[in-house]
Amino acid sequence: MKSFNYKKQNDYKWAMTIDLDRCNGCGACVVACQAENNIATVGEKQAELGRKMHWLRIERYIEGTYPDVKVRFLPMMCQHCDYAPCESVCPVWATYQNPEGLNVQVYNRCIGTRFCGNNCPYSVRYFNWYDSNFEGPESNQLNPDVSLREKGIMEKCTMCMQRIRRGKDTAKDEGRDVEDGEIQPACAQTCPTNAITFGNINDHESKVHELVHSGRMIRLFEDKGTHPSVMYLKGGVADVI
Amino acid sequence: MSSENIKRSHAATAGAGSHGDVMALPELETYRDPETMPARSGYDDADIFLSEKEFNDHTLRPLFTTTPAYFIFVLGLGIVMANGLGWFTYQLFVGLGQTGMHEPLFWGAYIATFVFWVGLSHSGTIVSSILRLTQANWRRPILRAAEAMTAFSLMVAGLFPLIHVGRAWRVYYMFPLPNQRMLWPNFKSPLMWDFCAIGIYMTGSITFLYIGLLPDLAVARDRAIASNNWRRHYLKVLALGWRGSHREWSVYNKCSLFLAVIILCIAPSVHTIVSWDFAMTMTPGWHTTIFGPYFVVGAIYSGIAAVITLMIVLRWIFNLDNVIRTLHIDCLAKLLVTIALIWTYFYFCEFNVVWYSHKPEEWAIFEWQGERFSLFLWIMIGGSVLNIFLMSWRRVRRSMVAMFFITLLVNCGMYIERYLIVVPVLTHRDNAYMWTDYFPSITEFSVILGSFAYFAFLYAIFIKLFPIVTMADVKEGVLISGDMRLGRHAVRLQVKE
Amino acid sequence: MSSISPIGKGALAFLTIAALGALSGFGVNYFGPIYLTTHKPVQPIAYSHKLHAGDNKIPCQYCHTFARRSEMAGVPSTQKCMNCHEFLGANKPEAQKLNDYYDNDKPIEWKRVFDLPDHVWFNHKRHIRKGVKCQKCHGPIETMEVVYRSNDFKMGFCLSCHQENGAPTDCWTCHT
Repeated sequence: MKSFNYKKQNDYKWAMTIDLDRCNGCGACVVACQAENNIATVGEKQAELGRKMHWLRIERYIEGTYPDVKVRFLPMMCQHCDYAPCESVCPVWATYQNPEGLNVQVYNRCIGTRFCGNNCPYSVRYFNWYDSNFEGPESNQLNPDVSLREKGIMEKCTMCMQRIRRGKDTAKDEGRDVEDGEIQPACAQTCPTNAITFGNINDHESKVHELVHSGRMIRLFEDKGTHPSVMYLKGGVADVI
Repeated sequence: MSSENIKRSHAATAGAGSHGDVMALPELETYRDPETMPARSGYDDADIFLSEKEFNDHTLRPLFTTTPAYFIFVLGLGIVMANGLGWFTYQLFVGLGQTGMHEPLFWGAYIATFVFWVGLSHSGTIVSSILRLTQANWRRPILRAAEAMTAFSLMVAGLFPLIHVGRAWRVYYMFPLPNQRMLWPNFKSPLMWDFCAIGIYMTGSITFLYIGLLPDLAVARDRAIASNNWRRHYLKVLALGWRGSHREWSVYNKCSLFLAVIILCIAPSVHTIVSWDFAMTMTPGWHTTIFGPYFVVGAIYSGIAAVITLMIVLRWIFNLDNVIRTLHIDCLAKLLVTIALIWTYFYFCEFNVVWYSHKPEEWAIFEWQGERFSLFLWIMIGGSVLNIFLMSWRRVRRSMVAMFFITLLVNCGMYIERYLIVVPVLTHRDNAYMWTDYFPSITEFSVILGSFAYFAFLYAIFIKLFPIVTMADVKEGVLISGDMRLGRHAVRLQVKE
Repeated sequence: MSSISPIGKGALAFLTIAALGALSGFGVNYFGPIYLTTHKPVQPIAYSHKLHAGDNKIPCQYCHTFARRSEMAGVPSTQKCMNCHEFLGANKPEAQKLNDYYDNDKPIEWKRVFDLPDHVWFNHKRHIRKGVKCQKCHGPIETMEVVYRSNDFKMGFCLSCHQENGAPTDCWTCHT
């Protein structure tokens, strides 16, 4: 098993934990993600066809029958696998593992064979079936750091790469490493219950490192051997942090 | 046999080619009356009783005589093609949203059709290479038509990746050419292997087709020059100055044998690689080791069936009863039964393993297949089993109408098989939250229909530009075999190649 | 030409077409559209980089102050121009134009010469702080009477320099 030690190659290995005991399924992260990353709104008709583009979606699972119903929420986004199935199948290297442990999608390299989407067990890759359409005031709220995607290419969660890049840029100007909690993806920043934590797992003082080793960590579809960088916390008492 | 027809056709084309045919041979006589002496296996039910020139006249008639019906047929194909092209162009400009696909089903009917066409292309290989190498004497008249089918179905298949990708204008990113971006394609991707394999197979099969064409092109060229037909312009160039000299024949024979061996190695590898597009993923339902051989056998199955369909159609339209005889259809049908048995065995293996182990994510797909596509499933499996029983009857094998419908049913079943490989697996992926359903849109239907029309169109054009019957091989077959009278019996003699 | 056989003619024609096709494909793929490098728009004011940066040796970052502070190099405000041109050569016709813009409180609508596609993220700050010369990308700007696009700014141009200098070549360095 690959350990979390990327230190020899790189100072950073980004990881994220999502506390399922804290998540109440409010969906603020979904909205934040959509606003941050210029994600196209596809409209009612396309959404009905199953072409919603939310990079981060909240899956609802209902346990039990009517009087004793429990709803479980599972925020699902690109898991940034260490052994990502999507990477090896792309014929043009539009997706690959970057040195900081993130699963990269290069929009302008993608030709849209959609093989990556077929090989992703989490089904978290999204395809631009049509050109994104930002009209009137919508175009004023676009994030200038994130490029708009053309029709015919795949896209997915980038762990807010533009924020990571800016954080590293600032740290470099000041001649230091990125501090824990300095960089926050839009979803982590917005989460009202602090369920999402993002950080550098190579830094053993970081909060993510602590949470991952708290004994509550699970990964999705662990039997697939994909070794995701997004980890879920479950089954403990809720006030661990 | 319809000797009356043939005699009439002689009368029609008697004046066509007086100019030098390649091999001048004495007329061959038949020693056997097909009515009184029933054919045994290995025997032709009607030996060629045409002279060399008559035979040429008869087989070149589709090339030089065109009826209005042909133009109407091609026009009809053109309309269907234009319709498909129009829908595709619209899809190209608007986006792939025009199809019925959606997350997480990223591959749909386009890829199923692509696999179908690649599968169909295995006909020419099997019939040509294997039968050439095993020296099956009955292969001779069907070689050309089968090889042409390989080339054209590959051409059609080659369009589908272009139709399918999101940004068709960026497909050149997949070409391994030096470029200013300093980037290379990913040779670890099965799609890249696929791209290379199909490229190699297309080059190989077109070369194979062309080399086999040479002697016949020379005959057609001589006729075209004699009758001042416009075809002489390209036939002169393409025949490469073939004169039928001894040296040319010896090089030709070596070359076609050599190519047959090479093609025989390429063909199974190509379809194995196509199967790896699916089997190399970690998607349950695709990730099985059996996919390689299963796809190859499926390809040969549908390919041979398509050859039979095509032969029956050609024979009916161009009145080639005495060239493509019942014997050939019979022999091909026997081959088809064998392949059908192997295919059914592979399907059984694939199904049985999943059914017994009942691994939830894999069984869910079969369950879903049974729920959603039960009719399709019955056409595929039931049709296959039924065909095996039907084709065990000599009478059915020798009935053109029956064989036409049986082979059509086989190919329907094989199309369904490809659809059932691609679609139910993707609609029921690992992540149960994303389970969906899929139905192709009108764009997909039109484009796929257009692809069938395109195939027929290419074939129709080919028939009018090149000789469709492998004349040289048939004549060779006559030359190296004959009957000898032993008392009251005629015994078949054949020189081994 | 009559000595060439039909086969020879056919083969020759085929080979010529194939060679031309391959060459042009290779050329387009490798060198890219040449027209981009001669992009030379007419600006609203005939500002001469040769005069300012070349002859008078004004440092680039005197005017393009944001180059070392942010992603964008930026163009100076009319105010900055007027720092000097209120007195220097104030009666020259081009300076008169500048004066008009300044008096009417209107920005000068410079035509953009160096532009990158939307999917490329370039950071001036990082390059300037590393000590990359402006001329490395913008060409001999101090000799240009009218500024033109001196490089094609295709990906190979960026990547070759990044590889030479050990800069990151991760795709996400420039693309998101």
